[in-house]
Amino acid sequence: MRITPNITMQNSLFNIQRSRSQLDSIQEKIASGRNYNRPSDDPVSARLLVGFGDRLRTNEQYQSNINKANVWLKMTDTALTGIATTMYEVKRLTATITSGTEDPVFRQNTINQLSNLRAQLADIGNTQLEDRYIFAGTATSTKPFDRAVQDPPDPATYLGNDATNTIEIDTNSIESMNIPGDQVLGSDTNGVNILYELDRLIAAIDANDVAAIKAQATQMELGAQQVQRAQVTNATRISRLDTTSKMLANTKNTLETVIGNIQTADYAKLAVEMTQQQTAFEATLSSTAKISQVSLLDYL
Amino acid sequence: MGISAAFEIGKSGLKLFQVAAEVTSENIANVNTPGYSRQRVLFETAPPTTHNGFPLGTGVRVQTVERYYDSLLQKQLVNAGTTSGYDSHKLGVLQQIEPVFNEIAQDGLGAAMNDFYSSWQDLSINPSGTAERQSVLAKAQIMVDQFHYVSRSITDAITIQNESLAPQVGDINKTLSDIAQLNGYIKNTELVSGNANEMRDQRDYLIRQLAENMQVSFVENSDGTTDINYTDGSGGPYALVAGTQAGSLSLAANAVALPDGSTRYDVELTEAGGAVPTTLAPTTGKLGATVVMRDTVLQGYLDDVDALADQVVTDLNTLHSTGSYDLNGDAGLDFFDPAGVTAATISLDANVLGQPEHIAAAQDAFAGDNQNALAIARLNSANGYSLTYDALIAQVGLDVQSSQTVVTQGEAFMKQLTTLRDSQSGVSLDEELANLIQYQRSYQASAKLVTTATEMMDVVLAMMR
Repeated sequence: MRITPNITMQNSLFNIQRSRSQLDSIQEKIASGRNYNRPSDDPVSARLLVGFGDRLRTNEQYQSNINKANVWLKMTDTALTGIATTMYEVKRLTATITSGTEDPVFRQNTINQLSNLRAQLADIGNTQLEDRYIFAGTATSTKPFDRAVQDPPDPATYLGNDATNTIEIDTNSIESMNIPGDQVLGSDTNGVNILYELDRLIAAIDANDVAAIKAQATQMELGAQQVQRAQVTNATRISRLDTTSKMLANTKNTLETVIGNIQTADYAKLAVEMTQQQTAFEATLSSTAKISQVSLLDYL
Repeated sequence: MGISAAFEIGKSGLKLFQVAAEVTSENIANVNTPGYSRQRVLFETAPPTTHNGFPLGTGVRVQTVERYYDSLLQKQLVNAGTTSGYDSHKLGVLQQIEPVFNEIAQDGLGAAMNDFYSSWQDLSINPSGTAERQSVLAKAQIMVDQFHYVSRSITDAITIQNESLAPQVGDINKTLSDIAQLNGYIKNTELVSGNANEMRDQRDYLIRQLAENMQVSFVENSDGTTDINYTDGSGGPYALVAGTQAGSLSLAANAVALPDGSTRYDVELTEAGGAVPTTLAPTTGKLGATVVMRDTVLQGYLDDVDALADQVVTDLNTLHSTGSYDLNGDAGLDFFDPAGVTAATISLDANVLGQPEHIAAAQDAFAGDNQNALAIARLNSANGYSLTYDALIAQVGLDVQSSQTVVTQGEAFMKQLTTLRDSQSGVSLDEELANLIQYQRSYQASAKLVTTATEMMDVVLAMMR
C-alpha cells in the first residue's frame, strides 16, 4: 500500500486520540473512585446502582421510622409500668379493707389514698409526647382521662377513641404504634373500666358495703391483668422493632457491599492499567514525533 | 531532416518537463488541500516523420494530465459519510442530555421522588407534627422543581434541534448551488478539451459533504455534469441537482407546535427545475438525525417523564382528596394542582401551598390519625415510580452507549476508507520530490541537447564563412 505523509499523520492522530481517551477513562475512574460515572458507562450496572440506591434510601427511611416509633413505644412502656405499679398499690390497699371496717378514720384514710392513686392513674393515662396524648387513640389532642373522683361513679370516663395508628417498618411490613387508652384503663364499652370501678370501690368503702368492696377488689384484679396484657403487647412491639431494625441493618450492609462491589474502583488494578496505558501512550507519541520528522528533503 | 530537428526535439523536451514540474508543484502545493487528488502528466511520443528513408520521432508531447481517482471509493466514502453524519450528531445530542439523567453521580429526580415519599413516612410517625408537614411540602416542592428541570432540559434540547435545522438547510442549499455551478464549469471546460481535474475534486468533496447531511445518490452524465438525487420515506427520487440546476431546501411551519410552544419546522424541497415544494421526511445523515432526535428520541424521553408526572399527580390526589381529613378535621382536597399533569406543569395545589395544616394525613376526623399519610407513603413502592424512572435512566444510558459504539465503529471505517483514498489519491511529498529531481535532470538534458545543436550549427556556419 502506498503511504503518504497525510496517512501517517491521520493514523498517528487517531492512535494518539484513542490512547488519550483510554488514559482519560482510567484517570476519571481513579479520580472519582467510581467505576461508572454516567449511565452510558454501563447501562446494566447503572440500572442496578440506581435500583440499589433507591432500596438503600427506603431502608434508611424504615430505620428512621423505627427509631422514631421507638421513642413512642419506650414512652408507652414507661407509662404502662407506672400504671401497673399504681394498680399494685391499689390492690394492696384494697386487700387491707376487704372485710370492711367500722373505723371511719381508717375508711377515710383509705379513700384518700385511693383517690390519690386514681388521680395518679389518670395522670399517667394522660402522658404526652410532644403535645400528643399517647393513650388517646388517634384523638391525640384530647385529654383522655379525668383525674377527679366521679361522684356518683360515671362509666363514661374515657374521652379518646379506639383507633390505632400503623406505621411501615419494612417493605409491606406494618406495625401498630399506639395502644388506645380503652385497652389500658378501659372504657364504658371496652374491657374493665378501671377508673369507673375505682370510683365504685371508693363509693363502696364510703358506704362500708363489704359485698361491694369484695366485688370491686375482683374488678381491680381483672384491671391489673388488663394492664399487664397492654404491657405485653407493647413489649412485643418493641422487640419486633428491634428485630426488624437488625434485619434492616443487615440488608443495608448487604446493599452497601453490593454497591461497593459494582461501583468502587479497584485502585491496584487501575494503577496497573494506567501504567500500561501510559507506556503505550508515550510510545505512540515518541514514534509519531520521530516518523513525522523524516523526509526526503533532509537528504537532498 | 536537419539540425533544426534536434532543436525542435530539445524544445519539446524543455516544454514538457516544465509542464511536468508545474504539475509536481501543483501537487506539492495542494498536499494539505482537502479532497485534492494528485495528478500526473502522461507522456507520449510526438508523431514520427520519415527522413532519408528512416522513420524518426519528433520528440515528446503531453498526452494528458490525469488525476488518480477511484469512483468506487468515492461512492463508499459518500455512504459512510451519511452514516457517520447521522450517528455522530445523534451521539452529540444524547451526550448533552445524559447528565440530566445521571443519578449515579448526583441526586436528581429519582432521589427527589424518594425523599418526597419518605417525608410522608415521617409524617405517618407524627401525623399532627407541623415540622413533618412542612417537610412534606418542602420535599414536594423539590420534586416538582426536579420535574420542571428535567422537562425543561429535554424541551430545550428539542427546541435547539428544531432551530439548528435553519443553518443546516442553508449549508445544504449552498452546497447544492456550488455543485450545480461546478457542473457548469466542468461542462464548459471539457467542451473545449480543457482539464477540469481540480473542479472535479472540488465537486467530489462537496458531494461527500452533502452526503454527511443527507443520503444522496449521484450519477455522472456524458457531458461531465453530475446529477444528484435524494429519496426518503416521503417518496422520490427527487432531483437535488440536475445538470447546472440546483434544487433548494426550505423550512415550513408544521401545524403541531413544539413542547415549548414554538413553531415546529418541516423540511421542504423544491426540486431542481421544479416550482412546487414537497415536504420531506428525512431519516438519514445529520439532517435526518436532527429530525429523528426532535420528533422521536427526545420526544420519547419527554413523554415518559410526562407520563410519570401524570401518574404521581393523579394517584396522590386520589388518595389525598377521597375519604381523608386534614389537621383541622376538614375533608382533604387536592395536593397537586389537578390541571398540571405533565412534568412541565406539575405544581402544588393552592389548597396546600403554604398551608401545611391542609395536608390530609388522616382517614378519620382525628388529628392524630396517620392512615392516609401511610397510604400515600406506600404509593411509591406499590406503583413503582422510582422503578419506572430508573428504567428511563437505563434506557438513556443504553441509547448513549449504543450510539457511542456505532460512532467508534463508524470512525474506524471512515478512517480506513480515507486511508485507502489517500493511498490512491493523496500527495506523497517524497514521491513528488523524487519526480521533481527526475524532471529537473531531464530538463537539464534537453537543455544540453539544445546547446549541443547550437554548437553543431556553429560548426556548419563556420564552414560557410
